[in-house]
Amino acid sequence: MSHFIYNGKSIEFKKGDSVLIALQRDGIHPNGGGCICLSGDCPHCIATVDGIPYVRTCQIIARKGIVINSHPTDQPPPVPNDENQYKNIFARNIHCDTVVIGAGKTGKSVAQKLEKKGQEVIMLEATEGKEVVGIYPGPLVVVRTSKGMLHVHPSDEIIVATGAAELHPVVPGNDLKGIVTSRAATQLNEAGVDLGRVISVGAPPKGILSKELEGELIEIEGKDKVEAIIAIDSNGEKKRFECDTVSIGIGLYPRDVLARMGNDLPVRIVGDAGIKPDIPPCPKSGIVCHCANVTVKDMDSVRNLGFEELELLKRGTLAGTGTCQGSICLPYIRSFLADKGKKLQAPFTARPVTRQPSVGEMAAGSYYWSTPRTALDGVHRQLGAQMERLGGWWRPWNYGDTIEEYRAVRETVSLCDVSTLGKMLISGPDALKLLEHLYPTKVSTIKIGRSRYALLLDERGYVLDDGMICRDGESRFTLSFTSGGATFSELWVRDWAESMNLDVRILNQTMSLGAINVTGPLSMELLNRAGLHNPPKFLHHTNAVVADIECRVYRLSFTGEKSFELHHSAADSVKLWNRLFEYGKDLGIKPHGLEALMILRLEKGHIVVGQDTDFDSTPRRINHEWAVKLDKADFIGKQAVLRTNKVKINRQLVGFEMDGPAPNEGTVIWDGNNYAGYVTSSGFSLHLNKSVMLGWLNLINGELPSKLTIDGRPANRVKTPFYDPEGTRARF
Amino acid sequence: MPDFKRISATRVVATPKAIESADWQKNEIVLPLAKDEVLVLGKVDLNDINDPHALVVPDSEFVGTWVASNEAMKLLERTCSWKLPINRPAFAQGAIAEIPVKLWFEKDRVLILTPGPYAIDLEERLS
Repeated sequence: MSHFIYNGKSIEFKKGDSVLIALQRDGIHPNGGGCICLSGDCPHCIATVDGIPYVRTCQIIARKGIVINSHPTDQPPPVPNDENQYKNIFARNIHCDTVVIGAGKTGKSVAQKLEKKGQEVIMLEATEGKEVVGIYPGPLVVVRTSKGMLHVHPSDEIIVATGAAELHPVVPGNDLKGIVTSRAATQLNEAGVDLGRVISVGAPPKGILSKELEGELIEIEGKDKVEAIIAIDSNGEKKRFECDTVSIGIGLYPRDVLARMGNDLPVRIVGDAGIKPDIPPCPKSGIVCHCANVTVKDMDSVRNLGFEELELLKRGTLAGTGTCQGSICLPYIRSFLADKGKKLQAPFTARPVTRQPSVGEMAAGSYYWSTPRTALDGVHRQLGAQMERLGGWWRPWNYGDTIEEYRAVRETVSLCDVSTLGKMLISGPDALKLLEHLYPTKVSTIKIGRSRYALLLDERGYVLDDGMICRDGESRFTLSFTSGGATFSELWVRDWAESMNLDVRILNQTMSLGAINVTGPLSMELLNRAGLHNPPKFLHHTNAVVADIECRVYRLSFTGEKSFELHHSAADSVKLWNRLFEYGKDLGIKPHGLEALMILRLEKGHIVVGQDTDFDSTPRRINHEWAVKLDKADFIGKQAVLRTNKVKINRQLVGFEMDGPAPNEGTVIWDGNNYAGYVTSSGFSLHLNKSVMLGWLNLINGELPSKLTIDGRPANRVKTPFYDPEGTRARF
Repeated sequence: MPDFKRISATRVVATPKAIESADWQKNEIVLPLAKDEVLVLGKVDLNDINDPHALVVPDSEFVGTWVASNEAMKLLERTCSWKLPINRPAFAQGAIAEIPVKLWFEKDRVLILTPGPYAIDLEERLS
């Protein structure tokens, strides 16, 4: 004989015993009482098994050393402080033609027939350690095993051959120890469990000498365990029969919860899982739902409040919401409502899961959304950067001293990893036609080797994204997009190219190219040291070797200082970054993160699409009418822009400044006591020694108010840029 | 634990006809990412592509690792929910462990490719 541990006590078991049978042989009921079915239907044998709560011990084959702890009877089981609960559980994916759930006679027979036809069939049987916990769209059958989860993907169908469950009694005393279903009585007897004096209600158990009850069972008596039953005979007389075990054989109910869960999926029910259910008489008294401890009296009181639909009664009482998911109580709830004047209502909706998997089991095979990292990610972390998820990427927010980073850009030279920007190559005979349609700027006027800032509008004239159009040849262009907007912009470009049936080639290079922005008054000096002796002019670009690495050099500026974006193979990013740092050591070179970049660009009044724009931001509202050429023949959004231009403008994105610290982004802007808008970008300008902001401001009586209150302090509406309005620092 | 290394490749975007008619025999591995796009592990001569507007550019987007077939199938069994090809050689692409990958199956080994920005997460999820 081998042993396992139950509540600290050693329990003997025979080979092949389920845990519950071994416990019963020892006179133990894991829940203290309630009808036992030995079929995995009821909640009466659940316990914590090896740290996992809500396990049906009747479905677990006893094995040496297994540790079982009973659940407390008056509260939920404690969350185990056990690494088993949190350990990484894998899901194994299996593909087949058909899944058969249930390996009884019917299941086996169906599986054999399908296999003879050449189908690949997978059989899943709970008592063989493959417990189906849910059916999901896909279809996907999720199975719990002792070695982890199985995710079974059938291409043809799911066959539910789970048989039928036995009805449990609902009478006072139905939570005592010593009540078993008829089939369970047979199994316990065969396993050598001493059942004592047995009274059978309904169909008697096979192979057991039992006294068959004549009459109607109305109560089960006993302190902790069954001592007697009370019945009413055909003459209406109450009678008491002493016994040790009550065997219940009062009907069958299809075990069809998985089939109902698979509604609209290719699920077929076979055998007893599809039988017409035996609907028991309306319960008069006793516990109906043992999982949620709902009595007939509880159901009466909730129904009297008007909850007469099955789904409402379920929600009102919580009957059917517990661990057995209505397996035991559903027939009684249906008969209860039918008896109260409502017709027999359909069973309530079944949803996964049918069991209580651990967090690890539920998470098996699921992965969180991965945030991409640039090729310089490791470098940033080594430099002590505070990394944040920004624009869909891991990006350095700062390297510990934002003010120093800001000063490096304004006074010396600094590097910023801008590899996250969307980068796309377009070529083909129709490349220009496509871009002229996509952009509101005149793309044809961009000369080869030149770049231009451009907005991307949707059909309603609202701003989708912004970026640069760089002309590489007559019919070849490089486009850039914002980090966060790159994926959508790619879809946008591809969709239009396809729907217009244009002859173009499109290549997204966002992840294949790294990009480093070299910015600051000494940026040219740094690049000169790195071998770039003839840097491109403002808004020009060229191919060049920088620090022995092939680069595409774009001259543009987001910071307001001289800036050069070096696009290069992502394989070379670390080398290029490190070499530039070497060259710039004595120039005071520093990296800058997004925190510094946000204030640098704010001083220049540059918008960030998605932060400073709303879903309905038109070029006019964001003061970017200069980027829209309405004398172009056509572009996406042109008609909408023409139409909305006729409407009086009601709000605009404008600049503000005020003394003191920068208010939070999102702070409300007040015009006297009137709401006037809100701040979209905010930061303290070291250059101006005051706070600068962008924000949406409502026009009042057709005019933008000038004197405002933000964060309880006076603020002025001012023109942007706040810094270097002539743009000389970036251009010359 | 798979050890991903940056792959030096060539990306070709051209008309589907030009992609189909190109002589890829001299290239070791050619992965058809789309009807108009291939990833070639190695170099490609622009003259081999019969499309004057073709984009033929060096590509370092992907990192990759060769894994013995048995080991790869074990890794994929727990990370890939879609049905893998049975024939060899074969190419497949999709998500494993929620990360985009390209898979090249040979008789005894499998090449797993993923964009470099996902390498760390994929390594962690396959470990």
